[in-house]
Amino acid sequence: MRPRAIRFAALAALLVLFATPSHAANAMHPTFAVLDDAGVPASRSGRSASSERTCGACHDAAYIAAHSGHWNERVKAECAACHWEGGSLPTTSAVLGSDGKLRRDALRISAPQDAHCAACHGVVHADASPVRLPEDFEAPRRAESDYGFTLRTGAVFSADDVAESFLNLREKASLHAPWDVHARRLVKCVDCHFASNNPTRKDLKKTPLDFLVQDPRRIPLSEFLHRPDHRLAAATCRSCHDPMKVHEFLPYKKRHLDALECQSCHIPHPMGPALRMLDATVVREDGAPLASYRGLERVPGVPLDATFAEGYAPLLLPKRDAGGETRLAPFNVIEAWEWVSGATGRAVPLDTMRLALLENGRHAPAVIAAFDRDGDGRLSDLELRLDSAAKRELVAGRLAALGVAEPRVAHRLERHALEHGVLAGAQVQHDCNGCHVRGSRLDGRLALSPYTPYGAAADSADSAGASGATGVRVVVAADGSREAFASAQATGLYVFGNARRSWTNRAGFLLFLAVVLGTSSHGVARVFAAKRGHAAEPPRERVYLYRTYERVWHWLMATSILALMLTGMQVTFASSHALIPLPIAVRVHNFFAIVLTVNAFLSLFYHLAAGAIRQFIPKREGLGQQIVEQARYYASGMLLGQPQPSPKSRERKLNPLQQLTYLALLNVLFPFQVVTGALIWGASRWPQMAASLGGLTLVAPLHALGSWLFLSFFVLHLYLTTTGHTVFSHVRAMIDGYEELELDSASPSNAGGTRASSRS
Amino acid sequence: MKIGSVLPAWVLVIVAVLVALGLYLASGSRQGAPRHAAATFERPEHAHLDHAPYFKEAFDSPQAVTRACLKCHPKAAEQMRRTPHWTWLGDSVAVPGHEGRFRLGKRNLMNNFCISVTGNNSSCMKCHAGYGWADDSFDFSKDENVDCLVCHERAGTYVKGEFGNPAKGADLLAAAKSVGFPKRENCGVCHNYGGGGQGVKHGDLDSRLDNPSREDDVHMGQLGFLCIDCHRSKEHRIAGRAFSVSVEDSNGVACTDCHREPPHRDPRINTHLASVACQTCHIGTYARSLPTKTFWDWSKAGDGTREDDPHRYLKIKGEFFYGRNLVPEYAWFDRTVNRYLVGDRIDSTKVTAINEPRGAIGEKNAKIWPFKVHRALLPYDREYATLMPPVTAGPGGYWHDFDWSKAIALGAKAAGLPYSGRFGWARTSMHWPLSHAVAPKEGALQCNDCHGPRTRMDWAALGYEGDPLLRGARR
Repeated sequence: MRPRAIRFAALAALLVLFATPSHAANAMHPTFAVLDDAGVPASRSGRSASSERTCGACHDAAYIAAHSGHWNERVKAECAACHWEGGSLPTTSAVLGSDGKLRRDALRISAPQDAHCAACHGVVHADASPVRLPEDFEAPRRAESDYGFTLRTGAVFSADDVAESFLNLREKASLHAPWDVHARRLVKCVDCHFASNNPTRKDLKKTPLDFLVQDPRRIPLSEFLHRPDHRLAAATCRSCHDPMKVHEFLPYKKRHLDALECQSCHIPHPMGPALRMLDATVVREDGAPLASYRGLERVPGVPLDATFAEGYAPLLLPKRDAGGETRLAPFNVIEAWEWVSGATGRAVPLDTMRLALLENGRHAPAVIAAFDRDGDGRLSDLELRLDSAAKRELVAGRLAALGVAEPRVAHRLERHALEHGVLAGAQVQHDCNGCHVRGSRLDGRLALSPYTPYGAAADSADSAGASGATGVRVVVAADGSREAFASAQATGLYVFGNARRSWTNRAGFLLFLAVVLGTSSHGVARVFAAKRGHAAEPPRERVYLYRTYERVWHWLMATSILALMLTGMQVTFASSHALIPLPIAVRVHNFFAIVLTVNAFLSLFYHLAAGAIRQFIPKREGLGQQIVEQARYYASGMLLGQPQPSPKSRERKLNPLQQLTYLALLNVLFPFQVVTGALIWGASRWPQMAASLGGLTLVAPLHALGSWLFLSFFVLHLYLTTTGHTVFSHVRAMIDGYEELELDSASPSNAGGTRASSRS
Repeated sequence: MKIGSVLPAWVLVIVAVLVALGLYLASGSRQGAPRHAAATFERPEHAHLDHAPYFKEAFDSPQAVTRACLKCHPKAAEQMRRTPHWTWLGDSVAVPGHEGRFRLGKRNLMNNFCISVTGNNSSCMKCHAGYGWADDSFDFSKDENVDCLVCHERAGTYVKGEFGNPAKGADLLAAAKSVGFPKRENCGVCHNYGGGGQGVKHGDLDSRLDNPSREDDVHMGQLGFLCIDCHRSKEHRIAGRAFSVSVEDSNGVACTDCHREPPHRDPRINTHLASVACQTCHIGTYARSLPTKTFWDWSKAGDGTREDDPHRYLKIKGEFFYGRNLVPEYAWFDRTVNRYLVGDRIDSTKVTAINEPRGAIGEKNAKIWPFKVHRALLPYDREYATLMPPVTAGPGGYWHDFDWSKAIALGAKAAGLPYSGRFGWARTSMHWPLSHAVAPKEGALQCNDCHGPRTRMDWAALGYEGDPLLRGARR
């Protein structure tokens, strides 16, 4: 591990040297002597400096090592690698004072700067030159963490405009956004990833007690400086931001914020080179496994910087946060192929792979003989592919010779959550249609390996599930190329416009279609019947049938229902060609839902108070008979010119069939729609209510079914208005209140009508 | 049909109110569109009465053109004669550090480019809106000497020469036939070439603005603004101030003339408005296309052995530096300046600021502004400690005899200054606040341009304890 630590420090030194402006000397930190690992001043012994001895003189080095994510089997980062400008302590006597300690002006010590983190973690860019990928970005991986920050997710941490970078990006000139808005706003790495017992952090101690905003008790600064806990915090967006205070454009803000991580919208399309596949079943001449990157096609000989790249749209997958909440968050999915020992189940280390395939810095002759297709004596990335039994056996054999028992090719699917490369403002996903349509980013797809290594196909599908990659479905094409699919619906989230429950829509649509067909064929029959001539018009009389309130009530109802159906349809089948923006459609829908409900209750009160409710209640005696008669009239009597069996009168404006329909409509369908609608509306504020009834997944399709029923009624109702003595006479009556009723039936009821109005 | 019986009156009222509101909102968003605007392929130029039919016969003198104009525009010359474009003097103002009131202008002020117009009429008056200002005997009350054409001719063929008279061969008839409201080129012919060449004086004005791209200037390049859309005039008095000659900003032009409500969505940006001028963020760099002069060493003039190069060295002018795409210098500015007046004493051990912007961190009405700063070495009298305006052109002028003492003596006489005969070279600076060549929004400065380690601000020099992002804004 020692050489790795040194390389680590050297690399940090190199990068820090080039990447950061020189910081002023630290005026607070006491001066000290740089010691070697024997505790002797390094300038005297000439040996290399030891952070453990030098810093450990005051700080508890053992405690820090035991409480650090940067000091373990894989990584050993010396103190200086992160805290000293340049990454390694100076040992020359030129910077020493007369007392053998470092001169104050040479004290380049500080909290870790971004460039320190950049040395290992990825493309973190702080200087004034254009953003570019480090020279060794593609060098053989030293440790898995090398540039992992960028490799895993495509993130670049820089304040610069993407348009001003050195990378060859699609529509680059228009990319006037920073690589990361936090970098632009001067948020440093350590501002979110701070020592977890740092007493200066206000957000450090979250109290479980509701009545306390924070716990003010802290360890003393001296204790922190002696024993800082280097298990770094990973602040979430919500540690600093309160998303409920912004996002005014979002309807159902809470619902959105409960279902989505901030990153889902704020990291819409990383432009950096993120890994797509890592194939360690073979190694290249330089000892690196084969890698392919998202959104770019490698051209041999062209560096990654200059390769045309278009970035990628991440998959939205469920992610469980520390508080136990699950939300959709953006992920990159990387497919990794590697040899594992069948006996131990352990992956074959890259060093063993190199030993197995390389000799003297080149591929072994036997390997070249098996893989070299074009016969040029070298293996290109395209030739290095485990695509036949012979090649597989060759590599397996060479591994077995090195002591790997029962080697086999295994498969891993890594999910990496996107956390950096955050955007704000206009660059963020604002368009409702980004999610609320079929095939939106919620139904994302990401290309994985362009091929499947020979013999790996059988076990690869299983391991996708076994790797715990929830919500990801891997599909293997006939040519062996592989693709990952995600679907919000599969994770149990009901998203309007994106999710459609086919059975309710299909049933509702069929009903609607039946009604349309029925009414139109009935209409055609009526037209033909009318041409044949019919009985003489009975004498008629103009009767004031609908009072002002009833007419206003009716038209308000009609307007509301029409608006609800139109906007409801847009919400359910949202498309980019809609007349009004989706948020407005939602607000209009809610507005008219309230208008409709209030109107209904007011009219119920009116009908009860005025006694007009009796119009809607069918008389029990002879009801069956009357229904049959009325149905027969609609089916044939109307066409044959027979009289209406229950003619319209002031006392009886509705025939029994109408009465039954309205009873069902107002007592069943109407409350059903109000309740399901209210549950959908309340899903934002009281999610448990809808959830207790099966969640939006069940409630929303039921509401949609109800609307189909309403729509069917609407068509039927519209058609029946044309069945008056003229086509528009019923409509006219509902506008001015007067209808011409047949004289013989109208006369007796006039008295009743007068009675009714005198009572009210 | 009785609508009233179907819909209650209140419904009709609400509908009427909504319709009215909609119409009001739809008509509201026109503010800020240019009144004139340059012609584009999509949009013809604002029409102006075609003057061609009024002029039939050739003019025998430029004054004849003016007389012809005055036949229909009788007040125009009188109006012009009251403006600084004619008088080269402003209204009477108080000057900080000086007793009494002064009328200041190009006529009696020094700059650190060609120093002074006094005695240099032949070439300086090329940009006077009049004819024949050769010396003090020029009659400023004579209407016919007003040059209408330089601002109003639109043919592009009219060129002024010595003492402001038309250059030889100028077709006066063609120029007169073409008149209309001023185009960008009319203003640019003088203001783009201040200091005797392209972009010499102003870092934000050069001939790129005759036909600018969106990146050169968002108002003119993208929206087709003309100069006169912002620099509006009343009775030929044009709004706008150049602090190279003005000491205060009455009748000035400001971004807020049109941009009443700052359109930043981010409240963090709006908090800057209390201390930062719009220009500071929206003009992040100046001289973006063509170079501007930043330094001029007159003392090096006269060396015939050096090769002449208009951007490095000229025997008649000395040594220069030009720069392109430059980061401005920043200072507090309350839109008044401390002006060096002819005859003021200088401290030759220090840099003499000719027009130092006034304002400090403690003054509420001062904001941080971007400046092009031009530094120059000028002759001064060692005994009297005054900057000396030399005569350059003409007999006895420096460009004639290459004798500084003679040129300074001549200049002193013209300016009424005493001259001891002993001269030296004084370091001077001039501040040019930047207001033109506003970049499109994606070119505006971002947080990290001023805050953090890559800052372009000298916070200590501005009076801050440190980066205000961390130390807080001024109180």
